[in-house]
Amino acid sequence: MNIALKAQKRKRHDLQRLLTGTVMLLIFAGFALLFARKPSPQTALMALAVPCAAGAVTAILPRLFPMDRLLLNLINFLCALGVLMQYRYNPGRGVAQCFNYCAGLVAMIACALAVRHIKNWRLLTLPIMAGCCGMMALPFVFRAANRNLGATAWVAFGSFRMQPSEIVKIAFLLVMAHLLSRRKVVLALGFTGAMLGFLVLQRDLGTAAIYGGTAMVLLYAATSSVLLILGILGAGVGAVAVLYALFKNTYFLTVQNRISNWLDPFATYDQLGGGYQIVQGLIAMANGGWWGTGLGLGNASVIPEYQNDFIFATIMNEFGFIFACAVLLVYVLIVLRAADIALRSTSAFHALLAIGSAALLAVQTFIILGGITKFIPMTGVTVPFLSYGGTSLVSCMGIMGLIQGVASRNERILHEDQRLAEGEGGADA
Amino acid sequence: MKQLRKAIRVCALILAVMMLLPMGYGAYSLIRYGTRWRTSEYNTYLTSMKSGVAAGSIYDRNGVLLAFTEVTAAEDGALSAKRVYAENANVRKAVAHAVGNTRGTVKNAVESFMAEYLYGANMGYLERLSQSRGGMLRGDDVTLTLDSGLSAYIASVFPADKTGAAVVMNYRTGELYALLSFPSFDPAASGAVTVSQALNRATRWLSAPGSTFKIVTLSAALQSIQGAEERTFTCTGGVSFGEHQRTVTDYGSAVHGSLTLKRAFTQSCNSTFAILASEMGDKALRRTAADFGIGDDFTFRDLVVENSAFANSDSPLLGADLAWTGAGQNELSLTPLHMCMIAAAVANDGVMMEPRLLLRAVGASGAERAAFEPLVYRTALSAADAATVREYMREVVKSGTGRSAAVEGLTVCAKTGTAEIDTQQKDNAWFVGFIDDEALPFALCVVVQNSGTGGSVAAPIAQKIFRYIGGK
Amino acid sequence: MQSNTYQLLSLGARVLFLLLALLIVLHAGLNLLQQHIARKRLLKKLPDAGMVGEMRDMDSGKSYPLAREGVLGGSRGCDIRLKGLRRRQVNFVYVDGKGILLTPCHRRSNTLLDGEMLRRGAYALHGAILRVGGYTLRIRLFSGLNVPQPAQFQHSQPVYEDELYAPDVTLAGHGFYVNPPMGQQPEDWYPWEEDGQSEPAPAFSYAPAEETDLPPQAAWPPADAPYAPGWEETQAFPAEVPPEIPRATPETEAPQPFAESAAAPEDAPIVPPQRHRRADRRRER
Repeated sequence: MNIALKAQKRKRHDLQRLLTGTVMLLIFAGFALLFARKPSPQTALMALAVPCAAGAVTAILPRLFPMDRLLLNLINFLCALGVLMQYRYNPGRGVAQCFNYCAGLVAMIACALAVRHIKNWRLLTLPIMAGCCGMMALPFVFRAANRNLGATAWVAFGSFRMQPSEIVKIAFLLVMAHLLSRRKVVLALGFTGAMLGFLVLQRDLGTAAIYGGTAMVLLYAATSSVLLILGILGAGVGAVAVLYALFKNTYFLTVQNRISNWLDPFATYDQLGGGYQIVQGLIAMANGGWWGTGLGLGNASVIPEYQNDFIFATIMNEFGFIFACAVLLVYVLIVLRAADIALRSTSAFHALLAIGSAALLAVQTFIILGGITKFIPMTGVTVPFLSYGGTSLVSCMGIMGLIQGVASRNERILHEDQRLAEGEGGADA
Repeated sequence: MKQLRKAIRVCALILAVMMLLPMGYGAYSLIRYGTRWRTSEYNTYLTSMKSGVAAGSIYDRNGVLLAFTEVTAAEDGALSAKRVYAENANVRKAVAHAVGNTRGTVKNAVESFMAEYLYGANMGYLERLSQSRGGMLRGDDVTLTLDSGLSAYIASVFPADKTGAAVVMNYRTGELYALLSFPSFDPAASGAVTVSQALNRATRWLSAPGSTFKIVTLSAALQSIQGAEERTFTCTGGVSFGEHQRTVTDYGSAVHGSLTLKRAFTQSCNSTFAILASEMGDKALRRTAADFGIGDDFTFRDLVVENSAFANSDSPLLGADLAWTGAGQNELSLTPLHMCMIAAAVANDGVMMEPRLLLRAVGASGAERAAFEPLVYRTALSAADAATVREYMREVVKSGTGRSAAVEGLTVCAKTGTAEIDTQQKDNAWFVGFIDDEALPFALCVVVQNSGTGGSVAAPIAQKIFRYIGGK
Repeated sequence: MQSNTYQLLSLGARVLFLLLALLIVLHAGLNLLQQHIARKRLLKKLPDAGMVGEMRDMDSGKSYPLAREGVLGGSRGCDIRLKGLRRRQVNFVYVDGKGILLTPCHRRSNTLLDGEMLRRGAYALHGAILRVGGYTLRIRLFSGLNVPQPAQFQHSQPVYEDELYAPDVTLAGHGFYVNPPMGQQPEDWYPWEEDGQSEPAPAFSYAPAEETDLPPQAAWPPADAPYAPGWEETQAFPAEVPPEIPRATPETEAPQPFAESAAAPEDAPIVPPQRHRRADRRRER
């Protein structure tokens, strides 16, 4: 049994090498092309450093901290692709994104270790909940500084900008997983309601949708009761209807704006806050066609926010729709892997944590992709891993870290069980 | 935990499917609207795509050169490209709205809409490789279905001071032989082009088609009212409808007396068709209108046409509104091209063909990029009903309001229309008709704005066009 | 680089990028699938992986694997499904260092753990007995787990816990499992062990040293038995078959004094769990 297990492990190891190699090759090809376009020592350095870093992380990190290699590979691929896309349009941003990635790695390792080693979350839950509420209230404190930024979801002092709702995501997952594993559904609902309330007041409807979607998935997973979900949906719709009737002309103007942009962006093209962004996104998608315009030949920079919210449109433009589908499939694989890890868990808390993280990633990807392709109205959410932005990358990596922690815990328990099965020191197979 | 695991499996599946949905929708919209977006005026990529490529030439169906790129080499070897249009000024002005110019003055004209052919976007990789050795890349040459001679002739017989449009279409294949809009402009001239000149009235101007819409009402009556053909109607000059008793009057206060359906169509009696519309109801009329493509979202392959509408809203029309709609007024809005397609459908045994502009696209290396194929757009009515309507339309030219369109030696079928517009002093003159001849399968639509009745203004123009077509 | 040349290069590279991306997706997808299947296969080989023990219904002899976390109840989604119970009856969680934490799902469920009413939760150790809804379940944990051992296992001589419960008499006629009489080799009696892993022959008699100190066959039920967890195992088994204990429905079940409830499982002999690889080893080295 031991021998068979070891052989299996080696085979897994090899496949991962091939996967890592393919990722490195793709990124190297991308940077090499950019070098051909505009030769510069910085580009050459990036062409060598980024693929090597991706490969090194996948090879070395799992040895130091117990991690799921496949997940790591996929995450590295997405992050490296993000760096490539940022670098193509603005080398400064590309380099900055590298540093964001390092910060993200730290966050991932921290979260993984936390999940792996902290056994009893009960005492931590209450302080974390309080912390969440505090963090979410911060933007209101900084409201004066926020005025010029439009939305009130940011916290800015000096040149440092942060979106607390991104960091709170991790804490939200931990709290919800813990509450639901203890079957404290009402408390979980209340906490979700509080978070949603904060977000709605901050006019960050996209993030509110993400939190709401994740909470619903977690609730269903924990209770398996479709009735509950339908009931909450109904209550939510009812609440929205009531609020709409009350605040039709003040708060919901932006919502109406967004919906009219979604229905016919060409009609509101010239207006401020109109369909310009969506139209240019669609045009970029059409210009790319199925095969893409070619790296370096597209002109996605006309889209506002092409480097964070609409980065996917940029990829569709330069690499083509089919390539973008492949990238989406990578996201799907991450979600499926997380679900696999959740299924292997032996504890409800960890299982819920893993599936909750997967749900958060899935819902966020769905919302932003739907907005870009005009499937649903556009909201101001970033694309996980690909968007430019420190907070976004750090929070996504942190969430992946939670999944990694669960995975490593699973492996440890499995090894323990195997050890017990074979007996201490005895090879009975 | 077992329950949790089961729920997790379900969640995972739902999440995976949910993530794939937007891309599926994206693929669908790319297929359906991709060309539309790519050729949109808001697309700035076209300018970068166009750099370094000498646009291909545009020919009409007979090989007349409508536009080509002149590449000149300066002293330092730098190549510059200049777009040159047809030699004949009349031809240039006649096809200006169909062909357009590189500046994109006319929205979605061939120069912009078919840019992917003209600028060689569909060039194969190896082709591109071999071509790039010899200087500037050359795009594909595009041959249109237009007949420049016919177009120039139509431009010459259209009243010079009036606005309007003219469309000539082959009703068996859907090829557009002429697509004109008045007033026009000279693409080779450097002056400014007014909004009125730049508007392609044939495809982008919506208006009530007047009595020409009675073709649709007639078809609806044949389908939904039993024994309509055998009935006798009484026309007293006006019929009142609805609780407010608004009256539908005949044009020029004509009183037709007792008529059969055929005579009512031939004389274009508003009262009769108002009664018919009232009888069949909004639903039936709307359904037949939908069969003719009114209310469709047009996404034709070769050109952009504004969508026609039955009324301003989806709520059912009642009373006098419905009655006036049956007579061709009220809130109907159709383009001349669509009206031409309707007549063409009647001519083609009820099958409406998609209007086409592209005959052939051939690469610089000789590779054929695209070839014309007739496409059925939809089936508007049954062959039997089409035959009946054709017969009625024949009668219009023989003894009805379309007498001025009769041509010796040709079987001309037609329907005239006079649309009363509140903001205009005079009415819009509409005329749709076709030649019922296998050798000359042409349908046309002529609209002259602010001019007079269809029979007196538009029909003579159509007669000249038919004569020209028949004489060829 | 000249823009034309770069254009050609970039257009050609499109193919490469697409190919590599599809390769990545395919690789990762296959890998995921393979690992999923491999894990399933591994779990089949190690049916006890993830489990911490078993719960054995003392009346019917059926064993239910005890997961690290789960719920016991009557509905189909429960990890341990016992017909006739409420939809969810008892939550159980393995807590490292403490044992199995049992928490009732409903406030007024009459669940008894080792005779005591289960109110907010209690830790169950190896050998604990759970009475719920007419079922009597014995909790057995795998050795090697980090849980405190119940009192009676503090023997000076190593002992195989299974053998502790082997009765002296056969009760074959009443559907109970037959255990080998003392002194016989266990491998003849455990035919379900696939790999031939046999219990090592005991070096001494089955009965613990104290058994000789035990009082002779006590009357049924023992009137003044002092309560200690696992106490009843140290008793010798009665010779005659005890009367059938009627299965009470949850509504009619009245809480019984602990003496009678403690008496109920006495007669059911414990059968070693039907594992293929597990060998209950000496719990201390």
